[in-house]
Amino acid sequence: MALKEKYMEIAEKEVFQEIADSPTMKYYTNWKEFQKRLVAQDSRVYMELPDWIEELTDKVVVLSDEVLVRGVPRDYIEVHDGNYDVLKDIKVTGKMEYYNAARLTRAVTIRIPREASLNGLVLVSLGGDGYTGHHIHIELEPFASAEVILVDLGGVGDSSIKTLTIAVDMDSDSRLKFYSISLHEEAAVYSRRVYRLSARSRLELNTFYSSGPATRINEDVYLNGEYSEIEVNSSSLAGRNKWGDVLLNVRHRGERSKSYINGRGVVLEDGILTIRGIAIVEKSAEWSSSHVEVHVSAFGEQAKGNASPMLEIHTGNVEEAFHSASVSSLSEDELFYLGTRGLSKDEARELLVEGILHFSGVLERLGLSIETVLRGLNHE
Amino acid sequence: MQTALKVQNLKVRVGGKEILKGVDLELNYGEIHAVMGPNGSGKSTLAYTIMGREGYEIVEGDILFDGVSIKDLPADERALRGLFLGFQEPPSIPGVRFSTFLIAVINKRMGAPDLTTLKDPKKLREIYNLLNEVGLNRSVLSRELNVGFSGGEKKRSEMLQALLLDPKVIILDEPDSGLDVDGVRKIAEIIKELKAKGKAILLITHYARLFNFVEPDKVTVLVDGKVAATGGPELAHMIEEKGYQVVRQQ
Ligand SMILES: Nc1ncnc2c1ncn2[C@@H]1O[C@H](COP(=O)(O)OP(=O)(O)OP(=O)(O)O)[C@@H](O)[C@H]1O
Ligand SMILES: [Mg+2]
Repeated sequence: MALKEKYMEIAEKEVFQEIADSPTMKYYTNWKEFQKRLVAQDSRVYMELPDWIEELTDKVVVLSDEVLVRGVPRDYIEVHDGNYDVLKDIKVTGKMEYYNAARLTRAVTIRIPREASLNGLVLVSLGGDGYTGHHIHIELEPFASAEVILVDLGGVGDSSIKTLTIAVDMDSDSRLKFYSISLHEEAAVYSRRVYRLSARSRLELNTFYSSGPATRINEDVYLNGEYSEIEVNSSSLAGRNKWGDVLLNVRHRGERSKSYINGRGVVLEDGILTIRGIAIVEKSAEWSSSHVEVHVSAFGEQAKGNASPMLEIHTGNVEEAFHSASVSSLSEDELFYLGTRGLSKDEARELLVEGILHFSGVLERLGLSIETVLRGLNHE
Repeated sequence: MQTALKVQNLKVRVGGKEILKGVDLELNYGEIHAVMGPNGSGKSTLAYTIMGREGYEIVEGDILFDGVSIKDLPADERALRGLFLGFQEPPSIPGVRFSTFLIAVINKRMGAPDLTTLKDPKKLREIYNLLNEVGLNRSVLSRELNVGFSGGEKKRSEMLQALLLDPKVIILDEPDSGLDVDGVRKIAEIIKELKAKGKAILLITHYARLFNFVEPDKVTVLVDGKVAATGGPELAHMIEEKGYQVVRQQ
């Protein structure tokens, strides 16, 4: 209890972020909205478990103010209450992460041994009408292999706020296919996900984020071991009144480690969306290769898109280093090209939006249509 | 032979400048009609105008497709009626995977309400076969449309679409540029196949290199936005030998 109070004290003193993001836009994250909602009471009403999850799997762990486990052997899972010390799993920085540590609602640890067959394991984090705080820790033992799906649902109402932290530890030679879908609805959601990869482990991360009025996602990948590999394919969306900030960070530490980061996003009406792809190659990471590509398409005169790549190399020898970033809308020659294929201007736009939303492959994997996903955007 | 496309005294202004200065041209079904001309003579402008690109203002003349004027139709309408343009430089569209794009254009033609889910699984088999035919690896399907495609891959992708969409009139704007000899031979094979199927083919090029593999039925030479000469394959070969000098002097 004392620990939690200490974290809250730190949270109150900490700032959201120290340095401004750009000369033109001070913060890419809607910190003001977070600030407004920090005082929310714990959620009393939670989102309902969507039907499509039932169709997807018989192995599911659902976090709300309680934890429901179905179809997963209990020896793989440890359920914790709000007193769990998140800081054991994640080194935190900034106000929101101390706040998360102080107010956490529920946490689970999932251990995946080599012999486990946990393909299609679905982890659901349900937001609610007030504050919700979840933490999930996944550990893969050496040579373990799994496919895990994370469903991160925001909440409704203008007090809805959620913090969700995820720590994934991959031991040597393990494999993880990680699909994640975030539908933040009306919630302000702060989510930091940390992945630590040991030698020869491989992570495939496919993500889909539909921003809320304030969405902040940090995907932080540490390629600690030699020959460790990460591939990220991500689709982001910010519609009317939504503001998303997505960071795809990779830090190369192991020799011959490989990263391939692809972020695509679309911003509509008066939405704001930033995608940052950042790769840092440390001195120890010789002969590693890194590829960072982010692109945001903006539709609507008031839509604001930002895309920025960053590549920092601190070693003499790299195998490959590529980065690019762009923001655009459909240009006249793209519209004409699609026109000559039989698509009207509206259809061309629809194709681009849908193309970006399908880019990560998450909707296909979950068997979801765009309509199902977008429905949430229209109920204001 | 039945006339597919008739371009009549076409004068076109682009960006306030007259680029086409009265072009006449007739294209029949089952025929390859080559349009040649030096850089900047207006070949692409002609192709764009036939397809209905915005900003390509027809100041005089008309374009008839199967006897009906199409000059006031938007590009997508013309495409759905059976016109196709293989681009000299197709634009890249990040975010849209090649497969997603192909599914959308197929669905549109089949009248499917939703653009992105493939309704007819047989089409996928057809796409695989066509990839094979044009010499593209299946992995291009997961790449973004024309993003990072090599010159050759772009040309092959344009040919694949000409085959997949089954149009009546096919305009190919320099389908051979940037290709190696094997690539040119492959493209020529496909053009012959399309001709055998009775398609009307307008083949734009400024080199006669392609004609070593596929003989045009007719040749029209554009110079400075005007038709400088018309003839048969022998005209192409003459230009190949002596350059555009020959027609300029006429
Ligand atoms: N948007 C534009 N505004 C002004 N001039 C233009 C525009 N587009 C094309 N032109 C001009 O029209 C002329 C014809 O261009 P076009 O691209 O049709 O030639 P082309 O015969 O296809 O040449 P190439 O063999 O190089 O492909 C050129 O002089 C070009 O500079
Ligand atoms: Mg041209």
